[in-house]
Parts: sequence; structure tokens; C-alpha cells
Amino acid sequence: MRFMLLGEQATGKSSMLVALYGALVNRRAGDLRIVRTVDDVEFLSRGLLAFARQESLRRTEVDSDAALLIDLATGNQVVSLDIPDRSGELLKHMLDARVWDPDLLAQIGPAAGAMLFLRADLLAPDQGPDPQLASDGPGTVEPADTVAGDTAELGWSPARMPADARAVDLLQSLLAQRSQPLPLAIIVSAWDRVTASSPQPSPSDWLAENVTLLDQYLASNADRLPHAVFGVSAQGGDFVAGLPGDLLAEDPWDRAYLVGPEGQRDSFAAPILWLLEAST
Amino acid sequence: MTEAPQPAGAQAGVDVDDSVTTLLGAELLDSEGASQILARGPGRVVVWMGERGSGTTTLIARLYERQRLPGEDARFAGSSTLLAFEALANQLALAVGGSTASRDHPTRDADGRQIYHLALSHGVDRVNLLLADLPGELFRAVADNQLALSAIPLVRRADKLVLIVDGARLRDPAARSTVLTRVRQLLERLAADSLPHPSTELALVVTKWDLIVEDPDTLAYWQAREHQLAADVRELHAGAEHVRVAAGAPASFPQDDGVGALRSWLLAPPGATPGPPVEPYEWPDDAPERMRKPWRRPT
Repeated sequence: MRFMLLGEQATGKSSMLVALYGALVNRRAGDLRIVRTVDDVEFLSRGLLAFARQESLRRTEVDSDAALLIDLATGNQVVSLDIPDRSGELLKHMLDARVWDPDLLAQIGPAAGAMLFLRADLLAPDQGPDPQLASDGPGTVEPADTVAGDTAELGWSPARMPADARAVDLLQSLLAQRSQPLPLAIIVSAWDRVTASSPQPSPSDWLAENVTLLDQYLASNADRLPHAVFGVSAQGGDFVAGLPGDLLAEDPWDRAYLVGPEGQRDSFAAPILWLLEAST
Repeated sequence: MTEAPQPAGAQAGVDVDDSVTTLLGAELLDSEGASQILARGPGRVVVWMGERGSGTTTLIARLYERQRLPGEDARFAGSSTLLAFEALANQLALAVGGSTASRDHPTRDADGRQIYHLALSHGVDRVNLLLADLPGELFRAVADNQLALSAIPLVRRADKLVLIVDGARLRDPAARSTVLTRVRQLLERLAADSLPHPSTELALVVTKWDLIVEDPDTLAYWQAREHQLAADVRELHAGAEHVRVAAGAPASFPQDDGVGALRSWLLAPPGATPGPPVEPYEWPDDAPERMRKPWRRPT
């Protein structure tokens, strides 16, 4: 069973994969167990070592294409899991150039589900209508005429779209290439930045409040994009600012945590289990 | 049911290199692209009948941008012109910020595509709004009887026709009467071409309402004429809607910006009961007495 990882660079894909692998190997994934490791996991081991040293994953570790291929047991069922981790740079380039990456395109049809990564601390709380459009000066300033065909002339390119529109853009393009529903786990990474605020929202509420366009799009297309939202802190906190004292002695897989759609703590297997259930 | 948008090249009807698969593009839709969307689900073709600079482009951008506000009763369900919306929002932000670079572009989409697509869902209903941003010069020519309305294909197939009153032009004493004249000219042209069709809805939309409200003379002038004009519109189409919109108003603007009401009307199926007539504007209690006086012609 193949699950796609969708996310631009530095959205936490590789960190999630490392944390998931750490949880599976170290029996912190509930009933989910590794039966067999199929492929080289050296980059995941290096990632776990980095987390143990309280270091974030280095770019070279993050942006090389890798994969997690394992056989997992859940209850009496054994599932072969294939999670290719494509470079976030590649996805960004694809959205900007408006041409599908052939490898990613080939994954869409057979994929049983996908994880879409958003990074909490890079999505500004006020990412609503452009503040200038909404609040600068009375009345309406009307451009001479609408120009959409030649956006380069305006100094605009898809790279300038906010993260919510880029996520919708990706999902729309993906659905255009696929006829079946695609179960989608939304992974909000750096969740420790969210829980630092008070009151702490659930991941579902956070998405509705902060990434409204995407939330509405998902709700409107739930028939083709059944989805659930998870908050993930793969590191367990901010390595640069320093971890709280009570976490310093913990192992990386015990520092890392995941929050389910309604705000409940859950194991790192939760998105996988949800995708497995949604795809059958 | 979600429609499956076609790749940009397919929508635009252009040849695409078989070896690559394109993503949805930044292009607006042409009539054929709009027809493809309408074939897949319910939709409304909306034509804004206003002169150049009357606020229609800002309205279109705000209808999209509005979906970024939490708690909206209509949900964003997708757009085949997502990038065009984003480019437009960016362009308007630059224009509001004072950049002149974005104001002087001479032409629209070089291939004649003029339609924005915004899919919204309300409960289980999903509606494709196809917002035609036609050049204002067209409607000036229509008003001057240089061009028949029926010669504009999108007007003939429109589900919603919107007559625009440009609030900014009402502030200009030398130009304000022309605004009224233009609307009445268009009403006459509509009647002459047996439009709107029985299934077509009509609305009178006053743009830049915040500019009207902040200027006592303009407001008094408009107050004395608004309801007569609205009555003229309803004479042609009894169910015509009447909305005041302040799409570009500052956050401090104390009234509702009207975009939500406009969106509700756009989403309503043909034949839906129109809203109650717009109430005359009432000055706030602390407004200076001089503002409350009826407008009189300057001597």
C-alpha cells in the first residue's frame, strides 16, 4: 500500500518519517509493529541520531529523495507500506513551472492515500485577505484592466501564492489526474509552536481558523478528499530555543508527540492507521 | 460531486506537448471553458455591466478573498482559475499600495479569456460562479448605442446581470449625473433587446459605498436618487436585487461591506425571492446636523 507525502521544502515530511520510524522501531506506535524492513533505512537512523543530539535534520538529509518501505502488522493483518519521500524542492518547482513531475504523476493513480504537510509556524495567523486590500484607505482602487494571462509582467508568479492557495492548487491538480477518492491526512508540523499559545486549539480547529481556504476546500470536497487533521511535533520542541528541562532526558521517540483531529494525544501511528482505514 | 478540472492546456484549447502533463494554469476561462464547467454541475454566468474602473474587478477579487475569512456560510469548493484570482489579488494589493506598475496594463488576457471561476458550496449544494470581467468599454459602447447588447454572447447567456453604479464617480459633481444616465441607458438597451431573459436575474449594485457615505454631499445627492433608480430597474425586472458594496473599504468602515449579501444573491437559484428593498441610509446619532440636511444644488 503506497501513501504519498506531499509538502514543499521544510514542511516536516522527513522529520515525520524519522519520528514515525522511531516510534515503530521503539514500540511507541500502539498496535502497529514492524514485521520486516524492506529497504535501506540509513537516512532514518541518521535522523534519529540527529534528534537524539537535539539537532534538526540537515537540508542534505531532508531534500534527498528517500522512502520508507516496511511491512507492518496491525492486529492480524500485515500491510506493506511504501512511503516515498520526494524532495520538497521538486514539488515547489513543479507548482511554479506548472508541469507535473513524471515520478510524482506516476504515484497518483496507485496511491492509497496521502499525507499533506503544512508547517504551523510558517502560516501566519492573519493569513486572510491581503491586509492592504482590506484596510488601506477608503474606497476601491481599480487596476486598469484585469490581466491574468501574462502574470510575469506584473512581477507575479505562482511562487508568490500564499501557502493555503498553493495547497489548494496542488490538491486540485492532483484530483484532476485521479478519478478515485484520495484519503488525505493533513499533518500540521511544528505543532509545539501552536501549543505554546493558549488556549490550545485542536488541529481541526487550527486549520479552520488559520488555513481557511484549504479547510473550506477540503470540507467542500470531502467526497473525493476524505481527510483528518493531525498536529505533529517530531522533535518534541524547539532545539534552538532549548527543550524544557523535563524533556532533556527523554529519548527522541518519547519527546515527539502527535495530536489527533480533536486535540487528543495519540501515537505516531495514528495517521497511518487512519489512512489504512480510510483507504479500505 | 466535484468536477475534475482539466489541465490548463486542455482548457485553453491549445496544443500541449504530449511528453509533459501540465497543471491548472493561470489563464481565465473562455466561453468554451465555462461551458465545460457548466456541463459538470450547476452554475451561474455573471456579467458585470459597468464602465472601466467602476469596481468590478475589485468585487471579483473580494468575492474570492472573502473565502479566507473563517465562519463564512458559503465554503470555497475550488477554482479552475485559482492562479488568476491570486494574481489579481496581488495586483490589487499593489494598486492599493500605490504602485503604478500594475495599473497601466493596456490589455486583458491576450487570448480573449475573461471569465473567473469560483466554486462555492452551501450545505450540500455546490454552485459554480462564472464571473465575466468584460471590458468596460463594451458597456460604454452599448450605452451609446454603438453596439447591441445582444452582440455580446456572454450577456445573452448570463444568469445574473449586474448593473454597476460607480460610487467614486458619484463624488465628482461634474460626472455624477452621467452615472445615472449610463445605468438608464443600459436599462433601455436591455429592454430593446428583450433582456433580461425570463430566467435571468438583474441587480443594481452600488460600488465603493464607503466613498459615498464619507462625503455628505455625495450621500445626499445619491439618497435623493437611489430609490428612483432602483425602481427603474425593478420596472424592467420586478425581482431585481439592490446591493451596496464597499469591497475596498478600510477595516474601520463601520458598516457591513455588502460582499456577503452580493454573494448570497449570486448563489441564489433563478427565481429566488429577492431581499427586501434597501433601506434609506440613516445618519448615525452623533452625525453633525449639517450632514443631515437634504442636498441642494451648489450655488
